[in-house]
Amino acid sequence: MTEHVGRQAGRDVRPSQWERTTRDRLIAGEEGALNEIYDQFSSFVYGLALRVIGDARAAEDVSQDVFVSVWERPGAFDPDRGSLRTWLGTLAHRRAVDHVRREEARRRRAIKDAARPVSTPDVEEMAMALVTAERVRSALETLPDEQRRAIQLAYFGGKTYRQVAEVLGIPEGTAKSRLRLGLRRVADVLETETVARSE
Amino acid sequence: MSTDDTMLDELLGAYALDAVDTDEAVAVEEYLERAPDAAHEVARLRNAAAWIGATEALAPPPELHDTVLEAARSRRAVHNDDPFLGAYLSETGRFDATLDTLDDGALDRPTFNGLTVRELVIHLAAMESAVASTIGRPTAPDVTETDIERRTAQLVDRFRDRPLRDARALWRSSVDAVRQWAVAESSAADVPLFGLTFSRDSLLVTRAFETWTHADDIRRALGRPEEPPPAEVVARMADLSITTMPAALEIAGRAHPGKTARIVLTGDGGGDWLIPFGFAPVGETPDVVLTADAIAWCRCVSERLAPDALPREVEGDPALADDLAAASSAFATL
Repeated sequence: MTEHVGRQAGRDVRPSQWERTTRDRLIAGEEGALNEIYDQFSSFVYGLALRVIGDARAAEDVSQDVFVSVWERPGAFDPDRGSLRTWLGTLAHRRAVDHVRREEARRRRAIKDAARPVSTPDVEEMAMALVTAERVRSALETLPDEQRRAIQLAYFGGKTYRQVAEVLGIPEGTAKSRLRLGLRRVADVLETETVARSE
Repeated sequence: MSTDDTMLDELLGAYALDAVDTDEAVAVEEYLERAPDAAHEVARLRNAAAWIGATEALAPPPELHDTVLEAARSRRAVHNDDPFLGAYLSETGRFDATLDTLDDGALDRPTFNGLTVRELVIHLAAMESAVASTIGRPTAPDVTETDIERRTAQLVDRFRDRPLRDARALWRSSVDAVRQWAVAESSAADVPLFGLTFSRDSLLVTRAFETWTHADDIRRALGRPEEPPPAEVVARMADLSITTMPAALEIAGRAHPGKTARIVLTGDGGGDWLIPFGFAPVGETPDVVLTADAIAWCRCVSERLAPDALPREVEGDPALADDLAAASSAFATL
């Protein structure tokens, strides 16, 4: 599967053959393709939704919505504009944030669960994903505190940049800037480490 | 670079984190359409954001798998051999997704035909519930008005002080009713609706057509780019519009007995048809050949593109081509 070897996790260049084929199979209505993307990405989608919403039931609903929406409109995913992971992550995050902002009362439950082994059709993508997630975790640690805090409030807290500014007691322009600079640094790390690995 | 563009650049990080409100998101998206550098940056930043999300990956409860598969199955049948139901589910699914992206500020914006976004959603609920009623699966049994405008007005009144999700729920339950009926019904069924008679297949495509039209009405009202349907759906819409052209020409008073037209639609969902200029047998040699983009043609059919604004190539009599473009929307409703 030389196509997978050539594909760089974390870089939105050159979609894998698996993604293109999977998209075509989804468009053709092959249920097996839905099964496969579920196996590949359900932990990603669910974990992200849960972290933002803080409620397992709602996180399940959001996860369901994301996969059903990809099943209904697979043509909306454009492999040339970004990876399937990024696409699913964007769908999941938007819905999770919408949920958070719509709810007036938020219940938080502490969820402790051991990671369960899951079969992943695209084994290489999954292996690279685990490594990349670790790298991103470290990259977040090395960000200036102010940038990391702003990003966490915005991304996981579901806050707008104005709310971030309010919470942190900083001007709105500073909030925008911290979000942008922090994200750029993470993007840089993603690209640097893939270049290093290809050498 | 203008000051506005600088301000939009400053929003790119917040945008990639979904940390902006609807108006700002719309402004950024418009900007991205015309600024490739900004679009590239957003792609990078969205990718980074997704990976930040991935640091929290957690396996969901095992039951979720089956729940998702069942929900998916109920929303979209494997429709390789049912492109008509497939078209209907595709466009209602996409409209539903557009509703997900609306916030309260969007609801009062005016759309193409004068209705606000909110009223347009209610109008679709009115239409779809009328269909559900006609096929014997009423979702709003107490609403007996069958005239489109009066029915819409009645429901606008009813839902005036209620959250949009109530009207959306009526629309969704009507879509479900139509879907269940379509799965059970053969292609030969005859459904009388709004003064016309539809087969099961043409009813589904007509509903898909209207639903797509209004989804784009909403996108346009919010300053977002229009989104054409998948090719296989465009193909069904184009085919339906052209097979009804002889009748449309008669209704529009633009028939020419004895003449023949060849219509070539290009791009996704396109095709090539030979049709008579009204209720007469089709001849072998066309008196006019009209070539146009399939999606532009569909917009013309749904009155979202004026006939003289339809970009086209014409061989033969251009006046006949004008007749075709003008008659194409003869069946368009609200």
